[in-house]
Amino acid sequence: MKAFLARRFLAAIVSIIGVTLVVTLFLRAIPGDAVDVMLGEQAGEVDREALREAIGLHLPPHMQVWTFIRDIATGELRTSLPPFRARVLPLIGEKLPKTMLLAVVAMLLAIAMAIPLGVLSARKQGTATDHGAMIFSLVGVSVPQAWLGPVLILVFAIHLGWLPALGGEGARAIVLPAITLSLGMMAMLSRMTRSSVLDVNREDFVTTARAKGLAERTVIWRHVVRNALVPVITIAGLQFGALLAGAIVTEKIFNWPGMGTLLIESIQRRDYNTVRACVLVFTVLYVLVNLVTDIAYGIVDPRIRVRGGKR
Amino acid sequence: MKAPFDIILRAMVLPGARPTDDEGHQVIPDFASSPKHPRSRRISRQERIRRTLRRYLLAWIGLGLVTLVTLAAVFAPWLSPYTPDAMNLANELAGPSRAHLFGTGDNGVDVLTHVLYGARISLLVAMLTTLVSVVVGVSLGALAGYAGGMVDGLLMRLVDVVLAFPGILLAIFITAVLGPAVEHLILALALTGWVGYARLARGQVMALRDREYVQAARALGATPLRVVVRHLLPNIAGPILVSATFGLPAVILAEVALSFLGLGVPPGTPSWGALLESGSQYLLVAPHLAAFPGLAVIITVLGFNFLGDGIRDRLDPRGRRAG
Amino acid sequence: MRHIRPNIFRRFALFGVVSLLAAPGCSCERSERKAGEVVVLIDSAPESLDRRFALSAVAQRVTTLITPGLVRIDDDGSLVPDLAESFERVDETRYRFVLREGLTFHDGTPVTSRDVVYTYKSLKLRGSPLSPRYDPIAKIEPVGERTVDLVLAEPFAPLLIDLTMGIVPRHLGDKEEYEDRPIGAGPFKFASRPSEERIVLEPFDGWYGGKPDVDRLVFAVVRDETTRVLSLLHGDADLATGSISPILIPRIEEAEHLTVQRRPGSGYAYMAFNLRHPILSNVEVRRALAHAIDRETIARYKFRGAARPATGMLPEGHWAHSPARRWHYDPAVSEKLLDEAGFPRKGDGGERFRITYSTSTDRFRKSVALVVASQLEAVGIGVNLRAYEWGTFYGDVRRGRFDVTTLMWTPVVEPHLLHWVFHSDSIPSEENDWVGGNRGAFRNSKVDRLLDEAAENLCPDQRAGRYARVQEILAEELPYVSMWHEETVAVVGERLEGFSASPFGFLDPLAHASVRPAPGSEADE
Repeated sequence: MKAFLARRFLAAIVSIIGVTLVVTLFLRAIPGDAVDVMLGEQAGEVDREALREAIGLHLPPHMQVWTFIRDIATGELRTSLPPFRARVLPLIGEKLPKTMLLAVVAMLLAIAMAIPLGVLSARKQGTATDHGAMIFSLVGVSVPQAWLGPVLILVFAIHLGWLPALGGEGARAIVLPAITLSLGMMAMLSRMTRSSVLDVNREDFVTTARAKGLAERTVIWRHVVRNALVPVITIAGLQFGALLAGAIVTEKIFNWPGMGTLLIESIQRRDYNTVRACVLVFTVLYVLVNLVTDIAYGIVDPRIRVRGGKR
Repeated sequence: MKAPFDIILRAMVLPGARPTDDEGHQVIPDFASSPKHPRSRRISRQERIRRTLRRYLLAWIGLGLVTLVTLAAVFAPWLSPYTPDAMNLANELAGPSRAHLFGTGDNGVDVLTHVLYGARISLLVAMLTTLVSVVVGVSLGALAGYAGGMVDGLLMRLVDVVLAFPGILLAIFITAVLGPAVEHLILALALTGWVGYARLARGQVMALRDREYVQAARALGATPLRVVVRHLLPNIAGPILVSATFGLPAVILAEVALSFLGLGVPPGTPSWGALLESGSQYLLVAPHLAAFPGLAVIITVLGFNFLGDGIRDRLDPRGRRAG
Repeated sequence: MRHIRPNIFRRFALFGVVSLLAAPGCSCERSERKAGEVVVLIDSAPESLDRRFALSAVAQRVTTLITPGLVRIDDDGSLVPDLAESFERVDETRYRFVLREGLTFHDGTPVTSRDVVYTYKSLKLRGSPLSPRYDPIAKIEPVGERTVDLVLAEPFAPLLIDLTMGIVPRHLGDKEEYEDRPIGAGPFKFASRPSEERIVLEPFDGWYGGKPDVDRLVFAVVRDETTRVLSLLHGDADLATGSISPILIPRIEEAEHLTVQRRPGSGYAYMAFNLRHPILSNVEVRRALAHAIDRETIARYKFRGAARPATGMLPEGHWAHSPARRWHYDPAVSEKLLDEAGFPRKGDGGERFRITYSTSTDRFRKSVALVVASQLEAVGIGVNLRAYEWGTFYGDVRRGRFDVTTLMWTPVVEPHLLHWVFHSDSIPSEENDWVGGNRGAFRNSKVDRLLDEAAENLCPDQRAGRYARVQEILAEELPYVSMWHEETVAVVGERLEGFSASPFGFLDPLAHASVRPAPGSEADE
């Protein structure tokens, strides 16, 4: 167990270092002069130098990496767009909570929808309800956000006028983006829930519980679902990072002013420093959430079934 | 990107979805099929036939859809009523009509033509990415599994690291720096795509490594390369194939997402993601624009998923026995 | 524990269902807009609320409402007094302005000639990027409490147009917080800026034109065009100017509560060449490109008629306009010119050469650029289309980092703009701190001389003659291919009464508009 945790922890740290190296040194690896690629061939020497300096290309590789890490850590990192080079960190500080909000709401929505659906489907195994639910979830993972989002806008915002289309403020504005972002995860989790419930349902302790004459409802909710949800919630946790990445597309569709929008805008502005800071922040979050889930699961899992069985 | 492709890759298909599984055993949650404990539930013969039919029905539907899309992609130049760059400014963003079955898009391009050519881009990117990922992943995975020891340790740590990394983000970063182009897209997606296959191949090779027939081959003086290529790879081809079948739609969704973000293909190139992008921009005046490319994506991805389910059930002896 | 948990799960399940059902249910309330409030949509956030640092069109338009200048531009493009009640040319180099009587700033302090002096001096002292435009001013002297003299170093006819610069109170203008809380003598005073995306103004009862008849003026930054149009359609906004694609206009005209006001445009869209480029420096190549672009078709369909093909920078009807050579769409001639210029197609139907075509990520501009690119490809010129966010793109162009680009000059009022754009002194470089609009480095000694003369020559007829010659030469030499003049469009909601859009997209008419509550809006509450 300890070895497992140590390995995960190490992998997380190495990933973060790896990303840092990639985002700092990648420009050196591409064929041709990166500055040419970014500024075009007509750029004057002054502009080239300014850009080189802004993104640290004038330094030797190890110094470039070090400078980047130092600037991030001290909050000194600035956008790579002369002459107005604003600090990057306040930008991220402003956008990150909005992305987190969207991702958390989407995840809660996914869990809240997927679990009832999966349990229902498992309890009615083999019936039309079950098939319907499972086909729904298969379709759910196949629908691209870039299609679902606009369709939701069209129906709910444009035709029915119930919800604000894009951006906007207040609680109503988050409904459509959250649904868009959550559908894939919802579909996946409902399948997971179903198979997990079916698995647990076959365990001895459940059979015992039934033999004791407990009501079916009690058996299902108290014994089966409780145990079945452990892996489901774990996967949900593991996928939170992926949900963050998925938010980039959702944010673009709905004009949601979060990290994804910042990242895409920075790309369009050719603001390389903000781009790499965004990528790094996303990665760190992703890695941390995965690590925490891993550890939590590692701690909970080996015992939960045993205890459940004894009840 | 929908269900960021890691979601699908990691949770539905590839090993490594569950953190406790360190040996790379496939822990496909076995959706839609088969209890794993035959004793716990008795299934009538009729029920079994019914289910088998149903399962294979979906697989056949999947195969049909995939074939359809592939044919559309291959024969796009012959099937398309127009050329992809033919503009007709007088008939911009018009709804479906006899002349334009799927309507027209920005600058009056024919949406049907773009959907057909978009199939080319999507399938091309998906297949090449998967091919590169499989070749690299399986080679490294088999090497790690067969050699064991230090080599294995190092490679698997590398796999851990890459797995801990949100693939789509790296792809965004790389295409943002290199600029939109099909080659860059493939490079960006394959760079993280190989790890799943590496893990899978390693686990399978480790499981087979000490089988008698392998030991026999080794005793007869076969070189390690020969052992791997002749005796091990053929036996692990099945799971790899299943994995790749699920990997393809994930790559397609990733490509669509990147093109939607304007990072996939150069402006003006017909692609599903780009069509969806202009569809989302012209929602008010041309709701048909997003509909058709969206359906194309859904059909393709669903087709591969159905097909993958079918192949998996067919190849996985445990699954079949239980089902 | 044991007893609670299942309940949690049950509630959880319930929550899932409820949250979906409840979501649409709770959303029927309308926006909480107050009766006298006017919401104006703008497509980007003003980079500064200090008029002296407002570079973008949107920033200049918003800040002008707060801090107007001595003069303003009338709908027909002529200069009329604003804070000044009158102005006159005393002699060749001296102009005299007299301020209106009883003018006060929003804080109640009177506007005096010293504020005018301060404003123009502070441009340079505070390092405004606009300050080079005021270099011709040798000195500026207060003559009395309300009178001020501007003295030029040498005769310079075009200066007046730049005297629209907003007058800033001298006791506040140097304060750090001025940019966040600007004060002027305009019809609206700054109230608050709750976020980057929202600016709230209130009517100023001390304005010389009388207190505007709206309670609040809210500028809402909405970057996405679909959202802008939806807000208008839903009645959440009352005005949007100049930022709606032509394709969406018919959809807006369908809505009964919206009116589309069109004004013949003098915004000048052009394709600029970088003459430092080895291939584009060849005038025959530029002529070939001019023949390759079908401007008629683009104007008719992409703009739905809201644009007229142009022959030069100045629109027809402008006092200095002179008809010049028109380059007709003729791909065959274009190909012939390219062949003769020494750029044959490589292989059968192959590419002659490749150029990079820079544009912004704006949906409509990019879409037009795709059309132009496909027309260039039709004559064998390969095009790499590069689209960047506006600021980056504009920055590239300003510093000459482009091969070919299409852009627009906002409505041209003063033909001296030709000097800024085509005089060899206006080539931006490090030495002149990148000031100047001659971004493609066009050099023509004859044009230089004519432009210099026109600037000094104070009689309009003589100036017009010089400008006519310049326009002729430009149409032959083609540092620009003239594309079209675009109409200015404003979408006005029914609540906003008495608003008559400016052909230049200015927001000044808001000072004369009033609000009435939309019928039915109360019933909805």
